[in-house]
Amino acid sequence: MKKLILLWVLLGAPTLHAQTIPVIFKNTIPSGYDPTSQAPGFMEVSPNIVMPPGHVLVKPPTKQSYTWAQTFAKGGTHYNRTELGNEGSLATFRSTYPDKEYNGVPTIPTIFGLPCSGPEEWVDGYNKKCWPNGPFTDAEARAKAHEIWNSGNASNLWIGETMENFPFMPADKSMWHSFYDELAGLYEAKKAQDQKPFFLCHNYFATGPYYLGNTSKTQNDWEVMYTQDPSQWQMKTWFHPGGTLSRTNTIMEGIYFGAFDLNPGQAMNTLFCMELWQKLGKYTGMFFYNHHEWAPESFPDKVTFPEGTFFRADKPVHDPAFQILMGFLAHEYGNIFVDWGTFLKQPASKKPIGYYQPVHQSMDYWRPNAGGPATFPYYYQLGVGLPPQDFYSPLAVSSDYSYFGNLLWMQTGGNVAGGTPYYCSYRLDGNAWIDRKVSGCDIVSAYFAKRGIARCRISGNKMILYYFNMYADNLRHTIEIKHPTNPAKSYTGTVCGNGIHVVLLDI
Amino acid sequence: MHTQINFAGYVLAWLLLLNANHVIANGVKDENETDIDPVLFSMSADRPVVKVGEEFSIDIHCALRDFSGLRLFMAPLDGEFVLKVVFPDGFVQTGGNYYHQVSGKLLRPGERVAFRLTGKFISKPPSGKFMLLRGTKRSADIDRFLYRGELAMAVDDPEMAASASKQNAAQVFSQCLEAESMSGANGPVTSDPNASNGQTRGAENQFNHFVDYTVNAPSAGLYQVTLRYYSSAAPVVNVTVNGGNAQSISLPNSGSWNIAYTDYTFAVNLNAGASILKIAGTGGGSCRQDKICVTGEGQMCPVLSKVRLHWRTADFNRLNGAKIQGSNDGSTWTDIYTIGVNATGSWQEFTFPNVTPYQHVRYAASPIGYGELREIEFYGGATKLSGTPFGSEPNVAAMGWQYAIDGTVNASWHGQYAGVGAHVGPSNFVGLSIAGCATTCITPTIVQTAGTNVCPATSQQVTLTASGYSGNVSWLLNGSSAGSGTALTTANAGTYTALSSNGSCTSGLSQSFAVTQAANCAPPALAPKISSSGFPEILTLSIVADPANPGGWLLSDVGTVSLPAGYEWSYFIGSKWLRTGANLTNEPWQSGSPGRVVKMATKIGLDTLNRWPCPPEGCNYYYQNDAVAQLAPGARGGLTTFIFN
Repeated sequence: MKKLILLWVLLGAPTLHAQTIPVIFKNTIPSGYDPTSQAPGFMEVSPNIVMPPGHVLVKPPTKQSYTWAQTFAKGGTHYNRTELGNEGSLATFRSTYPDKEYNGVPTIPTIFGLPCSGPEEWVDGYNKKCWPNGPFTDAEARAKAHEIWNSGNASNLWIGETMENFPFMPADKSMWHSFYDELAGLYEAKKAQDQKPFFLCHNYFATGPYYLGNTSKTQNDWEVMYTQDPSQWQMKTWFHPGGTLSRTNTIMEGIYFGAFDLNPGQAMNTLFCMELWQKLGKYTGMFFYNHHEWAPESFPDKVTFPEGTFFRADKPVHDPAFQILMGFLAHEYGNIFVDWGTFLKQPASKKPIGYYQPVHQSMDYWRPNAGGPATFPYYYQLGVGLPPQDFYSPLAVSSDYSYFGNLLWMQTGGNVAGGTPYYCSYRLDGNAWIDRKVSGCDIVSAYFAKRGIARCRISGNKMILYYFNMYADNLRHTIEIKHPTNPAKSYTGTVCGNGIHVVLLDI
Repeated sequence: MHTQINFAGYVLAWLLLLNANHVIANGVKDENETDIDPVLFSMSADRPVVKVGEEFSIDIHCALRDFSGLRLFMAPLDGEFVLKVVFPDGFVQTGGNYYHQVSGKLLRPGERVAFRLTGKFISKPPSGKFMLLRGTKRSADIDRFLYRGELAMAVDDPEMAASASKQNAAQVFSQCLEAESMSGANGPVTSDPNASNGQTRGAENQFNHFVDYTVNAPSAGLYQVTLRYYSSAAPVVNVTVNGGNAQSISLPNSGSWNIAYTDYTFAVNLNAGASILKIAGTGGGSCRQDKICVTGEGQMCPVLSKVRLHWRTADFNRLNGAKIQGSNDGSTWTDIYTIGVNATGSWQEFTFPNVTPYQHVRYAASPIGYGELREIEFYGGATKLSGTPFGSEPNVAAMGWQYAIDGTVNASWHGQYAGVGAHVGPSNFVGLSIAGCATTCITPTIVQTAGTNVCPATSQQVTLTASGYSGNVSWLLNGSSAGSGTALTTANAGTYTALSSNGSCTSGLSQSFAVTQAANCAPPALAPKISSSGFPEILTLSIVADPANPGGWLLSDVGTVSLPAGYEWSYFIGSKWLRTGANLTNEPWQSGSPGRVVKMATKIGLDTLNRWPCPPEGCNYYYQNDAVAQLAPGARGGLTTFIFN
């Protein structure tokens, strides 16, 4: 009898104390937002908000009326110094917003002041057009670091464009180590004085051997990395201690995605790499292009005018749910989000539209309404020597969505910034539980299983709980998510689609 | 609330130390510009104190030092320089040979040059500091300068002199405390050449740091606190004494996170003996705290000892049980006296042996009362107290609490007694925030004055009204800003709170007030909105509500373009890839999440879209010219993005 009572108690205890808490995931689009105006509008529907310390948001001013101050008021932390517009000079910006400058991905000639005037001649991976004397020596590279530092152009957010095109200098050249070693020393000395974080990144996208789609590797090859110190990883990178880029402290993941069917895997691989970069002790983030870079092109985008309809064929724009998701995850799997390639200072009237004949003559189509002009009436000719003017670009609203992802994170994850992240066990529709991985390799597991991720972050008595599934169908599912450290607690809600589902909870 | 000036000496001249701790003006140390400056700079004024409007001159002396005996260091700076003098507010230049970024070049040791700056103050500045910055030829381009010292002028404003003199004479207590020396604090201790004691507490790019100052006042009362700080933008700080009496203060921007400080003076009520004065950044720019100086004679708030009141012409028994109360934080009220008689319909006077001074005093109705005063007066001894009146809401139309404290015995005040918001008892109150004493704001109480519950779908609303407050009222819904004003009409359910502020203080947060959603309220009506689309003949997306799944949608393509032979339609609906020979029809989309539909004609059986037009070298796995059909000039497919809002 005693044994029966004990059994009853043991069986009953978890049941008696288990608690399943219903949650409603937060809407991802701010109330009142209306993209049908075809004009950027993220600022008008977003509250003033502050990005938590240590997190970075570069959000360009997409609308003519948007100002530096407003950009910072919406959570922006750094501003591209090449996109200051007519609001003021660089000196004015620097004095008004000290150390909020972002260098705007300068190319190698810009960084080093190379003339690149000779004939093209490729030798040992570099082009003598820009490097007539070959890579810098150790002393030259270190002197260059001082020269750049003294010029005032070493902004606290430094992201280079160093791995493309004719000025290319391979990243494995020792000059890079000398250069970054010296430059990092200068940054570190400054940080010791002013406590301002700096982010020093060689290139806006990372190259490395960590690709989950590598058919010569197995799932286990990747998962074992989560149990190892980075020094034990089978494949090393330039960022490892002793590598040519080891003195940089930031590794950005470029979101330049390809064909539509490959996107879920590419996105999961991005998160996987970000986890590895953090294990390597680096800051990381997303350098986000709101369109697909490598996909079948020529998708026309419509702009309506009273006189007719204008179309411009371009690279396909991302799914807004994906843009929001990545804006959010940039701060969960890293701490930096840079919106790149977005047109600036666009007029709300949608006109004029910039036109550069060699490029746009095969991209633009005009369908006039009855009585409308035969040719598009609101072109603004672009070209060398022509005066600058703010002009409109079709798909003007596209970057609003990646901002909304950042906003969503500030409103939820921003409350637990610096807290502890956990993957969570979950199940859908009452099916079998998908348990969190002991080593934390849930991203790898989810990639190979083509499934979603449940995760949370806890700080004090607050927790954000979120779920995303890059491979999702578009049907409703009931999800149950276990609290990662309190087995008596779980949460339940409804999820649907490939976007982010997040809620901020008091625990 | 006012700023306080700190006066420095008459002439301030200095030698440049060979000190690597010098920092340049914009906070960035330039490694190419060491502090081994071959030029010695100094500034002097022709008088110690100037009056507003009085012209005076400052001379800037520059002399090339003899470095012949000092060749141990590289000295990138040379005798060529650019000068920049940062003027204090209110100063205008009227003459002299100094001009913005004036330059000079000294070639021989001992060689000198001087510049004169003549001008006047057109208003009394917060600080009379002139800051001297030195740069090189390049500095003008990159806006980087080295700090080389400052000259502080005393500026005398005749209109303020008399009151300042009186104030100084009355000040019997003064205590200055360094922020970096306080043990209760967070944020880094940072060096600054201009800082008192050379150090501050706080960082340039974080506002959320605090310092707990232990102040020992000789007696309880009101004191002036002057905070010296540096800020990158206008900071907002919360000031508490022993955890209470919170006041939120919006500080002016000092103009720079280092070098250039500002002093700001505000009042606090301190206890006798040790008090913890906490100054904590809560928003805006960073606030690097340097020090505080506490001065004053411990001015006491008056002690309320008498009220006179005049009741209306009926319901005399409702006065019996009314209370006179006091508060020092605008939130917690202490009973001072309970009235134990009925009203008479004429003036009645009540005296009581109160000994505690309060910033705010009020009359709170008896349990059966609705206010009903025609007038009330508060007295400290024989002195009628004045200040900013406040009172409860809601009230009968045209019978507001203002009538009870408008100085005349005419109309009477009467709290709302019927309908939504009717309230009997001590929630009917009227009082005074006492002039020259109150440093805190009244915390409002939220009262629902219209409606029952809400439903956004049908615009069903409630009205919330702030009862008892100072200045302006701000509303929060679930902790986020929801509006401002005495009343808030809303269709959104959730937890509401409110606070009030008058520019010099901010009240505590009101009690929470839950607004519920009507039981039969449907979810907010979402409507699809097309965010982008292309040629309509290729893809026109129809989005209609799914009758079988409330809140869900059905997607269909009514594009008219024909499917080329040998191809099938590939639709990407979110992450789903659907291959079909017919247009998309009633595809479920069971949420209000944003999404995208892409449509292409792909070769039947194509395994991936990762195919590209063949290059001149030929085709292979990745290059396949016919993988995707061209559906129209300029269109490889159709793409529509959408949201619901």
